Amino acid sequence: MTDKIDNLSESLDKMNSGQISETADQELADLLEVAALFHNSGLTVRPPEHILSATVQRAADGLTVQKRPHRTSRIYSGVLGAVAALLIFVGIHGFPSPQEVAPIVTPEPQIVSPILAAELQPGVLPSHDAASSELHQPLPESNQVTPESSVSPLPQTARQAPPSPSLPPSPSRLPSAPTSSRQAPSPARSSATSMKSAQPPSTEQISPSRLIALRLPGRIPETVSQDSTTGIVRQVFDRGTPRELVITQRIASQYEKDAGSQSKPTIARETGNAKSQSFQSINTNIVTIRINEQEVTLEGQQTIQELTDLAEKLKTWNP
Amino acid sequence: MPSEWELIEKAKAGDRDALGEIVADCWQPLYRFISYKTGNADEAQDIVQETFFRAFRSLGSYQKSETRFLTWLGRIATNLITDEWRKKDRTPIMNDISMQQNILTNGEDPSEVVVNQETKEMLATLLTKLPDDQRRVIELRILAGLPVKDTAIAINRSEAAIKMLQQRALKNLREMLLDRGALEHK
Repeated sequence: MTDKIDNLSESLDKMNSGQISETADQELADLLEVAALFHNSGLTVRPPEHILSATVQRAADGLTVQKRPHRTSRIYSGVLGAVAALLIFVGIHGFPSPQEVAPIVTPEPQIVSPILAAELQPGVLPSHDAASSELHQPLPESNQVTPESSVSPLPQTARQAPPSPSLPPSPSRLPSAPTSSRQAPSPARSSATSMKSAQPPSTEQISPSRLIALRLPGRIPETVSQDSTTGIVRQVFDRGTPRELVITQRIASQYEKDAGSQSKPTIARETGNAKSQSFQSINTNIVTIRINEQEVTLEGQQTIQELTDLAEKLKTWNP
Repeated sequence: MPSEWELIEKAKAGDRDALGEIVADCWQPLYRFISYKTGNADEAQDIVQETFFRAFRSLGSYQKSETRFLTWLGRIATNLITDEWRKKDRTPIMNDISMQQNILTNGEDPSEVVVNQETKEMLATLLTKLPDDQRRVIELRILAGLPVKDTAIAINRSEAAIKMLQQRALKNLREMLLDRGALEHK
């Protein structure tokens, strides 16, 4: 009986693939005759759901591929836009202002907020001794940047160390900057007017004493570092988590202030004027505020609103 | 009921339902055509999917004409099958040509249409008299030409149950056909 059932099934498979099956079994032949009648009847049937959905999906893929060239160009435009925005951001925030350019570079030791230093005592943060020791160790009196291997989501230009202490740190070391601007012409040091020219400043006047690490109430940073050259203070919270937050403080660009005083006088004086940027392509949001002549940037995967709230908290703390 | 061209236009515009309608309409004859050509049910399903993919990928080049969309699909499928043969250095299977007749053009001869229409209606009526599971098995195994495995998945039964059901269904249908005089006792 089982043999007959299997033989029938095999014969049907053959029929479905266009082959003729010969059989001496009359009963089987009778059943195959009926099967052939239906098979060749022209009756139509919808495919079963699992096959239909898979086939429709594949067909839809074909339609998507057909439309892709237009979408691709849009995506490329979006990515290019985001990259351009990022470059502009780096250009604005990575370049020190002419006021930060000192005629003679005399790097000063880093200064970290005493409040923050007190918070970062080894007893308070036992798991982050390295981070706190980074703060308390005497810093080299050179143009070397504080080790920041653990700080990643910041513009590279802000972290670049000068090639040698004899060469003053220059923002013109940005890849896009012209080579000629790398050399620090001495006339530029003597004249403030020449600093405003197209040539970027060759040296920076750092006022680290004005850059005191701001405190985020109720939160302790995992690492705090200060660039001895630019005086930029950087705090990293919740590193490696989706809540990672990087707060960067730098002296507000004098160049920007000058420009602001000509066109928009209020901007330079206003503190806490928040700007926000959203880079969906890298999933990082950035909020920049001005606090007492400092430009403070908050970066993280938090929403703009969350970053703005955190920025407000920073503003409430008055060093 | 929208015409084939209207469905194609809707599908082009991203209408998933229209796309589903086109696929559902064309799937069975296309699958059977490819099954006949390849002699392999699994391979046939892959080629059907690839045919639809390629057809919709180049839908822009399909022009409204007297030629049915299914015929266009058949051409794409034939090219794919030829490519497969070349790839595998295989020779085409020798099938019974008469069984392949009109799979894609499906009764374009008017004299055949009348005869087939009457037969079709009778057979369709007989199918409705079968119990649901037997009817479904005949539809999928014999009309659609699916293998036992896919039929089992489709109606959520074991392969052994499908084999049993198809035998019972064919016996029942034979009895009904004999009763109507559509078949003769041997």
